[in-house]
Amino acid sequence: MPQKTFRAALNEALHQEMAADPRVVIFGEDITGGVGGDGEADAWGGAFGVSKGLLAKFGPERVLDTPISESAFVGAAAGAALMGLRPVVEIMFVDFIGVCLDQVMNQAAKFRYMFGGKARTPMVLRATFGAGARSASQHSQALYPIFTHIPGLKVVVPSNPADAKGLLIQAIRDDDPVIFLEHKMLYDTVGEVPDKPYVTPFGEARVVREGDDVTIVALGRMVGRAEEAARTLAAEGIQATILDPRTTSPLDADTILEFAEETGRVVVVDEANPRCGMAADIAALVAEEAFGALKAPILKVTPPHTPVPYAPSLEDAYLPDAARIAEAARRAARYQA
Amino acid sequence: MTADNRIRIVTMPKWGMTMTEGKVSAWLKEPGDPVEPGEELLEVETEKIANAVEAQESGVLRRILVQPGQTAPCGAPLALIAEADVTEAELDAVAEGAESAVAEGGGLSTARVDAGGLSLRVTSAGGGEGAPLILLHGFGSDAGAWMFVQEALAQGRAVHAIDLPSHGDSDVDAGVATLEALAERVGAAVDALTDGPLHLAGHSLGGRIALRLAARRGKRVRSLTLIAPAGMGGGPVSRDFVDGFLRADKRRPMKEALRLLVADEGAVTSEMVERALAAKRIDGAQEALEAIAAACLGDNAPEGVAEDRAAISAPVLVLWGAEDRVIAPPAEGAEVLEGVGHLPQMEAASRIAARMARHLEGAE
Repeated sequence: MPQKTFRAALNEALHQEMAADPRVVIFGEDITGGVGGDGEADAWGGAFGVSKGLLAKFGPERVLDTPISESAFVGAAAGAALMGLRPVVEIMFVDFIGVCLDQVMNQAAKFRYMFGGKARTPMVLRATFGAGARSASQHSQALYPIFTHIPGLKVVVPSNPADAKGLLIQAIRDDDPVIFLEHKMLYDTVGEVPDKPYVTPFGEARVVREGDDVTIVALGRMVGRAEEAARTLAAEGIQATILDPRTTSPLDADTILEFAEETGRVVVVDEANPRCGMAADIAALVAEEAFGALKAPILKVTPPHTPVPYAPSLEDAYLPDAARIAEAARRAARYQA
Repeated sequence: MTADNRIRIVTMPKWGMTMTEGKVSAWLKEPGDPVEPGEELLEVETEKIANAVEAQESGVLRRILVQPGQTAPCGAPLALIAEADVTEAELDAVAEGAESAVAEGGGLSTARVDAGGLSLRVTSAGGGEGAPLILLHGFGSDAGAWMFVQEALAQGRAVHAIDLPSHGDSDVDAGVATLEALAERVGAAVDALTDGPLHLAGHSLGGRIALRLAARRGKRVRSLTLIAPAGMGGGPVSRDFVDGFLRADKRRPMKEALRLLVADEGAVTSEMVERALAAKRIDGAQEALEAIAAACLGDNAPEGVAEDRAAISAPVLVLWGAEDRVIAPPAEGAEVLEGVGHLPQMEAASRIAARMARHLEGAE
């Protein structure tokens, strides 16, 4: 099967869905190289290269640069979706959601409910997230818990190229607003990705590996770090299951509970801030629904409750790494009541 | 790999296109132990699979070159098997030469072949003067079904494993669903790969297609190997499997369906389940698989089998797992392997490879 980068997998999904459905339009800042400048059109394919080639293939009526005004273009996407288009809008860094949260939280997320089920809002809001790129506190956050908190939004956090493509195609075909979050440190990672279009359904966790001793739930970039930890643990004789929920809303509670009950020991790894984050949410789910099967406390591996530091040494120390994940898994696996 | 006639080199296998290296997790034999073909020598694990490597030849395990916990690239020498009278100096010489002879990439390549307007993916190994061997996988699977035997069969010949229409990485077309249509497209792909003599082998649905294709290609077909072929069993194709596989839209029901394929249910990994679900989620694949199942795997499966067999003059080898729960083995006409389910080429890879190799040699 062909090997592709995370970036190329997303680009292929956009190309295939735009070719298949004329209602799909994309817009955002700099996705065609910037409006009004005299530089080369589509020189970069967007700030992160994900929309490369779309302008030449589908033209300026379907691939639009916008002014630097998230509130305007995200609002426009919500309206366009209500009227029957399938807009995919790009917010360069999810941190910028602050200036357009009303359009997302109070408008797009609420239309279906407040119009008695008569309105559909098939929009996708793509954004980069995550620490590691030396981009400082305003360009490095993992804000998916904020969106997960809001009913009416679907929230996607892919961890690998194959899922990135299948989940983006599902997001575009979905009739509800989808927040699609791409970890900026994953764009150059490589994996097997089928050439043909396919969907990866929402609300279905991927079982990354199976082991009897401990269950590690991880999201986005943390999945790869959990896999690294699992290899270390395997050499010590501790076999870990790794679950990647892939979407935080809907969340595949069934699979998480199934493996929580099988192993009785659960570690949740989350790049988001620890307060009211996914680690806390999943830990609460397990505590409430699988309490009787637990043999150890549920452990969370998260950054500290601080902004993402700019100093490289501090930023590296901030993120959960394989060593911290392995240490938590060891504690859980060896815990004796 | 043969160093000379007296010393055999056991190499790191290549289980599929993405495997570049494997880790020796344990040796199941010790230096000095006698080994027989089919006996498990060692366990190898990759990021995706763990499986045993079985001896291909008889002799004595004389030297282990890669220790447990160590990783080696595909094709790298792992151990030497020789008779007891081979000297240590002779073993040293072969071990040194083998280190430098590691095959790059393990010798699997893929290409796309036009089959009457459909593009089919072909995974190839080996080469040489021998008539090429064509491998056709079963329903819902792909060329990866042959990964444990493909390289072993590629001695002196090319071995091409074709992804059937609407399977694997081949084009999807629900209009190509009948046995005749499938055989026609696969036949076009085979003709694009070779215009001379060839050997055909197929598993399950692929076995039924191979039988039809052999009937259509006449004397060009030197031998036919059918592993648990559809339409030739002691009973119908299991509805539990076919319907369960088609209905499964989540991990758990897919795992239940795939468990019917093997004798040892623990062999069904999360990786296999993910792959099966992913294949069904390709645009159009579900509809195409439903059409193929309706046209080829129902009560109609045995139709035309007798006519096709009558049209074939080449030697036919039929292999079956004794514990096959998808298609029960027939009362006669098949060599039955004990302790094996519907996937003999994965469950008993070395035995199948060795038996097929003998069949091919006998037919040359």
